[in-house]
Amino acid sequence: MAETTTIVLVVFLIGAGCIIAFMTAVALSSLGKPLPQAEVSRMGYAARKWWARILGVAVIIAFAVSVPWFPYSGAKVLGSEQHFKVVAQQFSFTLPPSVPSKTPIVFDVTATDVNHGFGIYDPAGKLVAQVQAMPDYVNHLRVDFTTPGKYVVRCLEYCGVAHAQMQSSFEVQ
Amino acid sequence: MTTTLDPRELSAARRVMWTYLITGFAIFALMILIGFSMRMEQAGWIAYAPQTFYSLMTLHGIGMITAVAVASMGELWYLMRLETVLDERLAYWAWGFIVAGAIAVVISVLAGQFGAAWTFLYPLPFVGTWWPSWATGFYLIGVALVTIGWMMWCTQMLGCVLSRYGGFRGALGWDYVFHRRAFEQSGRTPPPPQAYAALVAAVDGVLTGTIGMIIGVALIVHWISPSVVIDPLWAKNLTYFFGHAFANLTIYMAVAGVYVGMPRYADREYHTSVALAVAWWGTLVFVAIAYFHHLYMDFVQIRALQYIGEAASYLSSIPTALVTVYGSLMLVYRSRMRWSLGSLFMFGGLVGWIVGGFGAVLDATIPINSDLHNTLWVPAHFHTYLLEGVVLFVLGWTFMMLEERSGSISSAAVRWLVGLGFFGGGGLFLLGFYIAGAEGVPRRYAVQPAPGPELSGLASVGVIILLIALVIVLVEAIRLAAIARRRTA
Amino acid sequence: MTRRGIAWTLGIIAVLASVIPAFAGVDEPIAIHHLDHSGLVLLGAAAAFFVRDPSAKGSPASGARWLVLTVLAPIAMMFVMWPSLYDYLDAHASLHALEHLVLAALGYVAVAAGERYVRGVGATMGVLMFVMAVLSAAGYGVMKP
Ligand code: HEM
Ligand SMILES: [Cu+2]
Repeated sequence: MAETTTIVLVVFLIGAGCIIAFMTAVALSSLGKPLPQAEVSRMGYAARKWWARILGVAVIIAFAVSVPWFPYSGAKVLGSEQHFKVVAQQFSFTLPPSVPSKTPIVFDVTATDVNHGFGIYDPAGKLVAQVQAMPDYVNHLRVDFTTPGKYVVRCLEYCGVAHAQMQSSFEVQ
Repeated sequence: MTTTLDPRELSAARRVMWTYLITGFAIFALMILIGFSMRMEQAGWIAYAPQTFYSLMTLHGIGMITAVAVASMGELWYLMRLETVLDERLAYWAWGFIVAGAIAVVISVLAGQFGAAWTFLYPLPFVGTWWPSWATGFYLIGVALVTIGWMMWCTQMLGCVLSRYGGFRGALGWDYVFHRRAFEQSGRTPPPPQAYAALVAAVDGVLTGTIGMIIGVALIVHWISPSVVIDPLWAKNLTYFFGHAFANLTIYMAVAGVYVGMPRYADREYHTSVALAVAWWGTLVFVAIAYFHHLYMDFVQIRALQYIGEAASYLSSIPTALVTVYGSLMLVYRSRMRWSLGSLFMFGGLVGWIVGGFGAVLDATIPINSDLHNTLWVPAHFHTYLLEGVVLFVLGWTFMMLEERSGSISSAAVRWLVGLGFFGGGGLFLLGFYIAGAEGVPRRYAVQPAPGPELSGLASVGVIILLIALVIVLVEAIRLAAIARRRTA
Repeated sequence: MTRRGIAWTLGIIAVLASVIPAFAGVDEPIAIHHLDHSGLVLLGAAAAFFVRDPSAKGSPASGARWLVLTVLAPIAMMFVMWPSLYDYLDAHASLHALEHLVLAALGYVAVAAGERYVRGVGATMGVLMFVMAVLSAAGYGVMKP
């Protein structure tokens, strides 16, 4: 999990670089010898057919690949999982002091006053899981911890004056 | 594009446009300074009480969105005025409502210290706050007034496209797409590209406005009689529908200027095609339903809506990538493009739109969103397509007007400076957000965990460079406007 | 039936549907009550739709007052659907009937004015008002079931 965002950042930067390079090249082409518009259109429409296919396939693949990783189904009752109640309020969390590792954990997350976010950061400081903490509702967040240590919890939904200080932690044993 | 307006009508239409544009730019200028101060605060260069930071953040958010909305509205109104007769009084009424609403919001934030963020989530503005209750009321009423002005403008646009192109069927280009031969044989032509922007802004805008009114009135009613309860999940859905669609529509509105401007700069033709019509049909739908991605981390949300959210978010990128931006690239490729500040802004805006859109699509992928939701990755991508997208579209349109009326353009040195400032400085500013987001630094934090402050400092340097470019832009605009005035006098 | 005939029928149904339930003294949860109101709004809107002159197309060059009416009607509707008043109205039949008539009238006004402005605008607004009233049932003065 920890590395995902690094990969995302790298993918984004490479993608952005390619987009910028390509569009700059197109812009620079206007400094050279001009081509009649009919000619450009013919080439452009032919190329667009492929571009459309690539985009379409990319979208379908990305969607299909992402579905098994959705965080929702994991919260279903497994039978063997351990439930822990998490309550958020301005500006603190009520948490279990420790949870076991290598056991399916389900956090039953709610809030008493306003919306908060329950964001779990691993001992290395990476955001590993999150869910909204809402009044009147309980969200079930499934996490399987593999590394023991101190996990920091931060509020990830703006909730008022001490939002940035709304922090707590628990031990994974 | 041919106009049949006589000089008096034309100048009346221009007056509407400039009223909107200048209002937008004035708000933008103030809000950019607030944004800069927030970034410096996060860097630790200056110190704000958290109350001040969050109040300013609220003002910056609502102010910026209103600024780009107003500017885009003026641009699109003018373009549609060239297509058909529109009542100017209504445009001024809509403008008046928006300005009145903006004033109420400013009072709420500056005098009352309202600081619940621009898209706050019920019950936040009523529970555990530091601002007085009247400030909440002023804010709610202010946003309601802005929404009424927006609704008036959208309804006028709806009337415009329906009456000009023959109802929904004509405005959508239905027969053009499905009965092309008969359509063309009868000598008809489909609506021009900018009319599609107007149609989508009108329909989705009226929809957004009504959704905004449901939650807006519910909140005002709760403010007056607190015994009226509101379901928090329901409120969240409506709030994000409104916020998402309103912010997105600004881009789709402003891009109309690119449809009209880019062919002029490239000295090429650009007309409605079947692909363009169908692309805008897609946009019409996706703008309205992509907002579900704001609720990915609400596991109690109806499951199917999460799937729809991801699909719609992905699909909303296709019309842009396949038609609008691709079409513009075909206009520019090996053309006799005249590069001026106006065309540079338009083209740069397309780059920013696509790059930011890519960042957004990554974030709209649910498993990735688990790690990026409400981190600085979110301001990272939306600042990319707002600051380096819609703002550039509007600036591009403004400079095209100025260049045409003054008959002159800015020097190459100025173009380079502005380009470097906007993309170098702006790029640095955005990079700070992206990296911090990937590091898991939360958004909307007055005081950030590491490495937030260092990156905020880096970003602030970027903002300074960007601000220099913006000053040059302002000077150029004034210079060109003065030449234009002398020419007409 | 002629358009005018349909409009009259719808109008009469709207009046009956406004008055009878108010005096029947039914006690409903707020959500259901919102849904009832959505029906009244729709009836009013539909009546206006059939009243309009099918040959008149309207124009955005004028008719500002019609536009203003069609924009303000939905907001007025949301305020009339003030959830904490419902208990009081359930106990005061004539006021309740009046409230219902106002809701149907707002639906009527939005569509009639919008269609008068430019054909198609009113119908759009009528549908949206119905949607607004239905959506209200999911959370406006209503807690999670
Ligand atoms: C150089 C120019 C700008 C600077 C320095 C700037 C700075 C900022 C900062 C520091 C934040 C708070 C981020 C956080 O910690 O969550 C923010 C949020 C925001 N900005 Fe900007 N911004 C700029 C331009 C813009 C533009 C052009 C727009 C829109 C057209 C915009 C719209 C917003 C919005 C909607 C928010 C969200 C506020 C919220 O979270 O409630 N900004 N900006
Ligand atoms: Cu918080």
